[in-house]
Amino acid sequence: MSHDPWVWVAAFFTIAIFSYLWKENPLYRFAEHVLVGISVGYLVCINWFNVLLPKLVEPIMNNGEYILIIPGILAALMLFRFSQKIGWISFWPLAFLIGFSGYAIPTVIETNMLTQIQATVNIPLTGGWFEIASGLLIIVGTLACLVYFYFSYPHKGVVGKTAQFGSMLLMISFGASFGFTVMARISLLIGRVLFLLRDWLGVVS
Amino acid sequence: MFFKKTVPFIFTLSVGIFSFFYYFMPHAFMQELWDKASQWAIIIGGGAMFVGVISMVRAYYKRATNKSDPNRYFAMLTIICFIAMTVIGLISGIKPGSLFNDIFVGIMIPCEATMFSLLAFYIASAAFRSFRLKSFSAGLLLFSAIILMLAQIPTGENISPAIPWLKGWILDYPNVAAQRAILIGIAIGSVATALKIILGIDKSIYAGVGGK
Amino acid sequence: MSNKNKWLDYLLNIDRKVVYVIIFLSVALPFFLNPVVDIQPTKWVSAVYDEMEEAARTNKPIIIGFDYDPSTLAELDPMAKALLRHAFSRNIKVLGLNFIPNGTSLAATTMDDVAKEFGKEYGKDYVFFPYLPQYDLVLINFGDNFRKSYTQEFRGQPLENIPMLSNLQNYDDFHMVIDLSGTKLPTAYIMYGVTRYHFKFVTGCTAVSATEYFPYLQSGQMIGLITGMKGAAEYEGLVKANLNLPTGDGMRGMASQTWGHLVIIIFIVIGNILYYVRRRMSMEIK
Repeated sequence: MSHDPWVWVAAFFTIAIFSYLWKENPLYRFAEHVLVGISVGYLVCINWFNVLLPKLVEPIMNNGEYILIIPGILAALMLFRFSQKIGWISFWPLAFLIGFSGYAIPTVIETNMLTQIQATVNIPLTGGWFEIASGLLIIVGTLACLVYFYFSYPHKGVVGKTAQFGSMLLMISFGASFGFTVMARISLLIGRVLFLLRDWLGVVS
Repeated sequence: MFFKKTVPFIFTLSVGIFSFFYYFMPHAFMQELWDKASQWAIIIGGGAMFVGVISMVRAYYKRATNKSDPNRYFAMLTIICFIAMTVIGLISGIKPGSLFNDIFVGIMIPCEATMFSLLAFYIASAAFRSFRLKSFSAGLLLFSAIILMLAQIPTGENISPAIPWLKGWILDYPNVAAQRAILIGIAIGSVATALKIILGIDKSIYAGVGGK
Repeated sequence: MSNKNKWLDYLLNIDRKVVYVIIFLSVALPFFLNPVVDIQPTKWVSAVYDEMEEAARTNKPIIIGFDYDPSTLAELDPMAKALLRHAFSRNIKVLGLNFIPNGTSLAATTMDDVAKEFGKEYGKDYVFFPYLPQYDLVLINFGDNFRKSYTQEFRGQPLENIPMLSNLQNYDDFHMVIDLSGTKLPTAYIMYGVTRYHFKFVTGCTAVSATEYFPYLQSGQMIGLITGMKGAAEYEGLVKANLNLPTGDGMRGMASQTWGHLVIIIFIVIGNILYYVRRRMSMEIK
């Protein structure tokens, strides 16, 4: 059994959250509300020490970079969001941040469209019949799935059959995703059980 | 109207056009302007977090002062924990070994990790009650899922080497086709949305202030 | 017949707490039995291992993005520790990044804990950069010079005082970039990093988000992928087999993973059998 008091605190909160499986109870609500309060306090400190202090406060106070007062004021303007009358002031810094999505436009086109299309078109259709069929599956499959998502034309006839093939591939992909999701969820439980059995109770190595 | 809608639109349009052209023009002048703008954006992004903090404190304060709320004492607890963690962090610092870090390891990690581990129980319950083989599509989904689940464990390799091979084939071929189509579709959608916002066609982001 | 109906109804509507107990036992019991588990590495995990060995040969440092928080700790922390153990055992210097504020302290603690095992010194053998928001801008600026975004490291020292960083400037000075995340951050690394600066990029992701990264593997935008706890176990197995380093929580959890998966598969099969038997009986009655 662990002698570290923080391990006992962690075990207490773990069991408190697990108690929700029985039914909602005051112990779970206690842990949940403590988590919310501590999380927000944690975020404030991380932001202060990692972002605002080194990038705003210290450059202004120590290095005389007074121009940084402008982004400081813009950041403070976001707090006007809570005012009914002059809440529109908070949109100014928001608009500044949203504008950077202009860089994302050519980036997304190159990364997620052009390179992906290039990779599809450049699939080497060489090797045995199975390799060639598998390569063709990616090319035809990508087109079929794109047809499935195109809703401006009725899915009838050839288009309908293509969309149906696309939906079959999507089902296979979502099934794979589900299989992985099961593994992910079980892994999270394994982590907590290992903590309780090894780090707290010390009954397993 | 000018300050409410037009000024934010001018900000978005000018920064948007500048960012767009920066991608294609690595000029020294553009680089200098970008460096300054990105530094400002990081500072504003850091400050934006306080909007969430104040929102949380307002909501829980309202609950804590509402005598008819059954959870008012829990709401008070949340605010006390928030103040305590902030003060401890600001005084002791955030480095490993500090009290702030001990609270993070002792309380935040187990609470958050355990909350998400509850999903394992829900997925087990859903597997028993909800996953029904009702159609060919559902059959494909279940077949693919079971192959993946078996291939992820040593049992799958022991049953047959075909299972991990099939898993690899499913992930490298049909899955790539489907996910690539989804990627391309999302890319088209996000480019369209970004263009609409930058050009001011969609102004819905500049709505919803006040907060109660 | 009515007895059979009763049993079917009872099983189909079984109290969910029974299901919870079964899944909990299926995960907890293997820890006591401690069976030997043999995991074969997949090609994408082997690719990561080979690239790390290449980094050791070229004597170039690597970047690891610790972009996970406690909610994905069980899957990504074993991966992080396995990668760090490999890097430190081969004297590869590591630069840690973080764009998830809830995981900053977690990342710092993980780096320090593993570094201590190998007697590595902070500032000389590894360094951790603090959390910054607007990760897209930071990733773009990193390609030019990381000093444009970062003025000090996590412990508050100015970057000029860090010996490890004296000859480093941008992605070109690192052998590869690894991002460990359960969010969309690996996609951001590709969009804002790989597309513009063409560095070698590897992702360690939660199993939930694994399927969406295979198009990037096929297109060459990503050169390796470690998926979930099994990926961590595969990497630990490779490191143990080749460098004789001890395995960690990834391999430790695989027996429980096995039983958990088998229980879920059995639940799906039994649930469907019961459903179809019940449906058939209802049709016969009609």
